[in-house]
Amino acid sequence: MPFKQLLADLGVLPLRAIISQILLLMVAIALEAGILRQRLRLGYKPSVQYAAALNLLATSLGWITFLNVEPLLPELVRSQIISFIFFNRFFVNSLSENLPILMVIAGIGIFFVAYWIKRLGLEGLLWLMEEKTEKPAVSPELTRQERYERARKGRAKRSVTPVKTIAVLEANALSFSALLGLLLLRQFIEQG
Amino acid sequence: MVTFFQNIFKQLKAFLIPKTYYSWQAIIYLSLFSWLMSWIAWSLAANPATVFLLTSFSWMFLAFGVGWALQESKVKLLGIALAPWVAGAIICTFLFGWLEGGGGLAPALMSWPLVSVIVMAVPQMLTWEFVPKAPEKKVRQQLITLLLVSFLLTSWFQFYFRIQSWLEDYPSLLADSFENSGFVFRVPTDAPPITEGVALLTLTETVIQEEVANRPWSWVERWLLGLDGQLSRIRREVRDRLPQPTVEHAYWEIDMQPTSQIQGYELKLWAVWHGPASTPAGFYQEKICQLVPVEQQTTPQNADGTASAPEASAPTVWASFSCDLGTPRKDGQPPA
Repeated sequence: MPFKQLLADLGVLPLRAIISQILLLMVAIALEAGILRQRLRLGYKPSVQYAAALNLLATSLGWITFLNVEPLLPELVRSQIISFIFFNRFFVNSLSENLPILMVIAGIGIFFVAYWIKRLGLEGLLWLMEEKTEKPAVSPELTRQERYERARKGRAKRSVTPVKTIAVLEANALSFSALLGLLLLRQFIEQG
Repeated sequence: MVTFFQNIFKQLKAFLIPKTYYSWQAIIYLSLFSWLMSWIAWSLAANPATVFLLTSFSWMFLAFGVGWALQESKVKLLGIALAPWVAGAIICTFLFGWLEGGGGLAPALMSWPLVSVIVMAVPQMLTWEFVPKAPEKKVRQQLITLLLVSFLLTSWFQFYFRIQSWLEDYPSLLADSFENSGFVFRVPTDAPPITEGVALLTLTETVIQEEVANRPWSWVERWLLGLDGQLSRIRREVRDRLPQPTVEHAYWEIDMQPTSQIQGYELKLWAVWHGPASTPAGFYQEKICQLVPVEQQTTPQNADGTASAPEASAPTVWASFSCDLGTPRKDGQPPA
């Protein structure tokens, strides 16, 4: 069977990574589109397109960074990465005790880098699309909590944070929480 | 019957000879012409630069012509227009196909999505007079998304090739199970899982064989007593003899343990894996060897090299070392 032989020659394929990446991207895009639509008043279709572009940008830059940095890493780290990718677990070496802390630090770092990329990406995208967004001084919609706060404090300090920053930060926080939840759930199901 | 053939001929003529010069057929003919010219130039041993130029033109015309033809007939696969992707594939084949031994496959696949998107973008960003223009808003959005998707596709291809290079560095990982992986999937094969441990154990056997062969039994017993001291030397010896040391050899450790039997000793050789594994305890491979005394009538050599009389020599006890062929893989770490 030549076809079977061809498949065997392909060897180890990153199929699971591709499928889970597509799923996670779809979740992230859906959630972020909702936030962008609310905060930036972009309309349904543009907000989905913007969210898709921003997430694809962050993901591809992440891949490019990983693929270029990985060969430069010391063997100690490289072997742990390989262990995680092939076996979904770390093995015991001199680094393994510090790995949980390193993972958390890396996660927080990735969150802020992703926010920064998306923030700049949004700016670039708006420029490319020549979209004029009016800058409301206050976030358009206030929650009940915020209205209460404002009423209590009397003359409320008007928010000076640009609405785009808040929108991207909120969108990023929401999608990261959802992805983290999904990944933890997967880990839990597989090990439980 | 005649009309049937006439119809066929008409259709063929319409297909092969277009009404205007401004058509994809003309481009394909240009490609064929350039290819023919390059072939002639090559057979006349012309300047390599000339041949290269002609071949390049032929490839470019081919990519352009096939792209045009597919665009015109609106061939689609799952709702995606095939034309730019096929044109991109032809360009990538041209760019990297000359690399020998399949070495061009990786860069060709990795650049394919990007080249295809460029093929899509160029007509939107250039007028027919080669003046740059800004594409329409809707097209702009599409091109941005396509460009980013192509980055992602490129990364996936590169990730695939990176995985293969990891497996070249750590071939023994292939003998393990990737069931738990969240990233990779292995196409099931019938190939038996063989780790580097097997080769290491065979080498260890050879080293020990050379060490104890043709030694008297008493010497071998003393050698066994000082085995811990010998071990580091044996390990070094094995490492030096590896035909192709890879990164993963740093994770293999040779160990052994003698146990005394009724006659002689049983020597267990272990190759212990300390690297990434699917189970927390890891695994090791074992080879069981027998070290037994054998009585042999020997003929010691005299100083001048001639054999002395047989009755002058006493029967001496020599060592014999033999190992099982199998090297079973066992989970966990070897017993201390």
